[in-house]
Amino acid sequence: MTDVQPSNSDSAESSSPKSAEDIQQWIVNFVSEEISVSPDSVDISAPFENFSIDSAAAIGMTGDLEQWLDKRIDPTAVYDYPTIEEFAEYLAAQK
Amino acid sequence: MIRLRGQSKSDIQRRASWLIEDDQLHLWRIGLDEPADVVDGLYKLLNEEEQERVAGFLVDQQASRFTVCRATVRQILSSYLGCDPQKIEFEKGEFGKPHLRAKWRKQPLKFNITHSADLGVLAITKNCEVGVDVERIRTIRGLPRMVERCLVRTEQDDVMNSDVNHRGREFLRFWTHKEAYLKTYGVGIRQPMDKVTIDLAAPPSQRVVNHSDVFPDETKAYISEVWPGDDYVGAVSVAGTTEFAIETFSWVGGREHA
Ligand SMILES: CC(C)(COP(=O)(O)OP(=O)(O)OC[C@H]1O[C@@H](n2cnc3c(N)ncnc32)[C@H](O)[C@@H]1OP(=O)(O)O)[C@@H](O)C(=O)NCCC(=O)NCCS
Repeated sequence: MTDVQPSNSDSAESSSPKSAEDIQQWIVNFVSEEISVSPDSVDISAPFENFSIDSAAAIGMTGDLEQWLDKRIDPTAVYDYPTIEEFAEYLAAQK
Repeated sequence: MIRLRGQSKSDIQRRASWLIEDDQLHLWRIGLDEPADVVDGLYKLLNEEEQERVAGFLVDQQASRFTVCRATVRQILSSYLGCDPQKIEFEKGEFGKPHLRAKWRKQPLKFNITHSADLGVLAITKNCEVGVDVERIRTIRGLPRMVERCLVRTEQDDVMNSDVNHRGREFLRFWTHKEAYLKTYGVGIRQPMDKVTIDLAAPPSQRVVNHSDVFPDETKAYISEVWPGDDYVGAVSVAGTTEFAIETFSWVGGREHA
């Protein structure tokens, strides 16, 4: 299985491109850790607002994702793709 | 630095109506953890959109904190406006900053809200735009990376040279200054944090040293550090450079204003 732990963001395996599903799972794990709920209860089609992810956590998440995916992410992209599903798809498609 | 009082009695119950002058800034401290029956009562003050937001939260505690915060903001604002809390209507700026709907600007009242953990703060001014941010002091995950991402060189040095146990706090002091500033102009973190340089030692009207022209027109702000309690840091910012007299109040018990 692909490594999708947010905490394990070392650049070791960053060369292989990640699919939208991998990224989705990573974000689900991040959010569930952040607000202490089980990953199963995190709805990927719900707006981030429902998880009360504050702006510090949002910036932290983008930073960790940048490292894991080994690409620059516009820190404001999360506002344009306000659900886990959309954000993951955007990130997977991004060069 | 402005210390926010914590006290056992709600200030709002001491006066029937509130007035604010041009050169004043009122800071209201709101305790967000209330028993279920209080939360249920407060829920009734929310409008449909707010109630929908309550329904959307995944974590119950966040739903009730949001309820207490919004309902209390409504009650406090209503005592300045002289109307029922339920009647207040908000509208949102381009990036989501809530304002009073035009017809409610009987007094040209401005406000901004922040919350972190069990504390909410409402800042109120007249005429001038205001922004406020508080953060509970905590261990920041991936602190060095956050520092690098959000702070400029001089600020990074200040944080990384501070005692290792205080780095989170020092980081959050810069963070809350920047966020209060960005919230004043309604942009939130749509603008990269590292475009704004803060001098924590400067007087309030000179704390923003550089804003990299992210705001072409009005860019000045009067920023004060606020100390909402032992475990929190915060800052409040008003557009312009005029000095403000800051008064602090607290709201306790989530009680509806009689
Ligand atoms: C709101 C924001 C300015 C700061 O967020 P924050 O530090 O997490 O939250 P704060 O507690 O300081 O402030 C939140 C309040 O600011 C107000 N606010 C919202 N947008 C604002 C803006 N553009 N300018 C000023 N104030 C704003 C609101 O009243 C909001 O509280 P409410 O929704 O409960 O009424 C902004 O950067 C933001 O939208 N953050 C939310 C993070 C997010 O959307 N994450 C989703 C992606 S993971």
